[in-house]
Amino acid sequence: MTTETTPRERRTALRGLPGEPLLEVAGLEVATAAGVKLLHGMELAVPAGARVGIVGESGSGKSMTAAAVLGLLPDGVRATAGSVRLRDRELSGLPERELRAIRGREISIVYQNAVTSLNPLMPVGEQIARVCRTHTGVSKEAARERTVELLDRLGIADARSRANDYPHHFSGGMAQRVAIAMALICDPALLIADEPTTGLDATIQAQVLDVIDGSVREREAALLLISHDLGVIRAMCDHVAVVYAGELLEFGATEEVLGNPLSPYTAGLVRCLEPADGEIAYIPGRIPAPGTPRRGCVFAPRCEQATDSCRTRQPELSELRPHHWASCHHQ
Amino acid sequence: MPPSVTSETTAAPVLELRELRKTFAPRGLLARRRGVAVPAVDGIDLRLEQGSTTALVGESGSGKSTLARLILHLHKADSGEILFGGEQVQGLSERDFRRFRADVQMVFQNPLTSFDPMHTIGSSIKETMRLRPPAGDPDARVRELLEEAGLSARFADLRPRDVSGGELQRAGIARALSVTPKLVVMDEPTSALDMSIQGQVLELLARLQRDHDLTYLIVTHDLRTVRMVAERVVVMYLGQVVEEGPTHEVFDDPRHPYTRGLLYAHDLADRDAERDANVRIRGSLRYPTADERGCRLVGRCPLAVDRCREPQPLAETGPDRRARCWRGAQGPLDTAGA
Ligand SMILES: Nc1ncnc2c1ncn2[C@@H]1O[C@H](COP(=O)(O)OP(=O)(O)OP(=O)(O)O)[C@@H](O)[C@H]1O
Ligand SMILES: Nc1ncnc2c1ncn2[C@@H]1O[C@H](COP(=O)(O)OP(=O)(O)OP(=O)(O)O)[C@@H](O)[C@H]1O
Ligand code: SF4
Ligand SMILES: [Mg+2]
Ligand SMILES: [Mg+2]
Repeated sequence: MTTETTPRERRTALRGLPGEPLLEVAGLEVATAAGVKLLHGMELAVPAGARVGIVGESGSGKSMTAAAVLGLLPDGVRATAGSVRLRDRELSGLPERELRAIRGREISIVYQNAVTSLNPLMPVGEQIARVCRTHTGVSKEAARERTVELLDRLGIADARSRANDYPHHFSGGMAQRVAIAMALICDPALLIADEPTTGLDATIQAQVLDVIDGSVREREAALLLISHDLGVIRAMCDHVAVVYAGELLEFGATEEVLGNPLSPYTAGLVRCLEPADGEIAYIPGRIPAPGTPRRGCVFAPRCEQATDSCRTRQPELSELRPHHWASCHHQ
Repeated sequence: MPPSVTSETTAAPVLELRELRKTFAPRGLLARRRGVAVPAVDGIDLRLEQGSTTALVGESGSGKSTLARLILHLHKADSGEILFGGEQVQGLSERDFRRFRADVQMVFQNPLTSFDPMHTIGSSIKETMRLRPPAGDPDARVRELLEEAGLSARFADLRPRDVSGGELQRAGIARALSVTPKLVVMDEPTSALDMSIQGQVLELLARLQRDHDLTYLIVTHDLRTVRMVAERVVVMYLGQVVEEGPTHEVFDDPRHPYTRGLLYAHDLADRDAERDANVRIRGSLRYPTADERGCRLVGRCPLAVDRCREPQPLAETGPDRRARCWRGAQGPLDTAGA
């Protein structure tokens, strides 16, 4: 964690959204032991009961942001500045014991590559039931019933008998659903799902999204959904955050952001979604490697609209339309 | 095309599977008592022509990864034949098998478990390259491969845990291509990638295919990718092929209700209740019991009637097209009530 002693007063620029703020991330910086920054002042807001999506290129810091929120950064990576607030509570700097109480009960997560978070040596049903008991205190039998019921809803055939199987007996997509069950079983106020349906075929994806949707709705919980699939974000989220190279480039209501993108990067992503027939669409160039010196707008080297001011002055994240924030000089 | 119709003049396909089967024995007391064995791959025939791209799609648990692993000889088939370049893989000498291992590469579904966590990405790639050492400096070749996959050379020195999900997936692609294989089997190669990087990776694959006449079998759930890169698509359901044919024909006029349901589910946006009732596939996979010999989709198919409980052969539905549904064999499904 951090060695700073002064409380971090900084609040996110994304203020004034309807609803009580549940999670707020402001000016978050994360760096490796060697001092290479992976997040450069990340901003994010999740109002209570809202569904916020995070999209952005591979390597842009989506998973790292989720890890920082949970206080679960990989070894050697630390938060060096900024604030993570859950309701009115500052999470950055909290001792591990207090964070542990928050994880699972208040915030739970479906990891990207969730399959590797399963214990290979324990039947999957037992793993889920244990998590359920730890966080809700129900009886062993009740936990078992809830587990089987949830697996069944997630489309695992023969759930009762398959609960006795070990993770390696499952297909990739089945193991992924097991991991999703583990996160859903503990009734969190905020569910973070990192690419929960990648690797699932469309029918199962629709079913899994329905279950996530249903359980979030039932508990009036909030959802932070990380996905590179704009179609999924569009179907599931009321708000979307577009991140790039460790920064937030655009934030607002999903329809608004995807329909009238203010950042050329978002516009590029939207174009990739519906390429002309037989064409493979992409944004030329690549995301800067962590540690690359920054000057001006981080997207400028790949941006078709970039001008001299883009290359020299960093644009600020500002509310360019009502409840629609972006950082771009040309808006 | 079914193997029996093959004309003698065409060259042998790069890969041919004949009646391939793999069943996982039931585990656990309850399962054993009820005898639910999992016929993960249940009599698959497949031909891959040199230089072609075939997509393999199907519900989670339908046997796609198992089929991929059988091709790579990572699982042993219970029965059936695998021919590579016209030769039985089972009968290869040790030396030829080593060549086979370089010629046929796989990109694994879960990159995190397919890389050794203790080694850097660079040394994992070099390990694979030992199957067919490159002409020049291996380290330079590793850097070049990573660059081609859209990763900078610095990734060579990182461990799997220290990179993002999509970065590791691209490293997996770089590794598979490091030995200039003939056939690359890719299990969800772009699933963790955003649209833009997906486009770059697919473009890279297309270029390498042109340059080296590579053959691809791509397992993917992403129908958009299928449409962009695969000229043929094979749809699996519960261990069987339920439909196959040229991609645009199958997608424009699916002849199996499962294929149609898959296409429908993919389109998350435009749903309406009536189409939903007629088209959407609900519920989950269930393996048939010994006395059920009919269509395996019966309990979930919105069009199911009594006749569907009879065995459904894979029938011709057009030139080079087949489907395992009597309705589809008669004509387009949309006229059949949806
Ligand atoms: N343990 C680590 N040590 C050092 N750098 C890391 C570590 N984990 C990730 N990174 C780097 O941090 C950056 C952000 O990674 P992150 O996993 O957050 O990306 P992401 O947006 O989730 O991408 P993807 O869509 O591919 O999952 C990447 O450049 C990655 O290489
Ligand atoms: N090692 C194993 N032991 C027992 N059963 C297995 C094993 N591997 C796979 N299976 C079972 O075989 C069936 C097919 O699995 P497979 O991994 O081939 O599916 P898939 O089509 O690749 O699915 P996904 O899209 O989820 O990756 C599943 O029911 C799975 O549980
Ligand atoms: S045979 Fe019957 S149940 Fe099977 S797919 Fe065709 S219509 Fe549906
Ligand atoms: Mg990630
Ligand atoms: Mg699989």
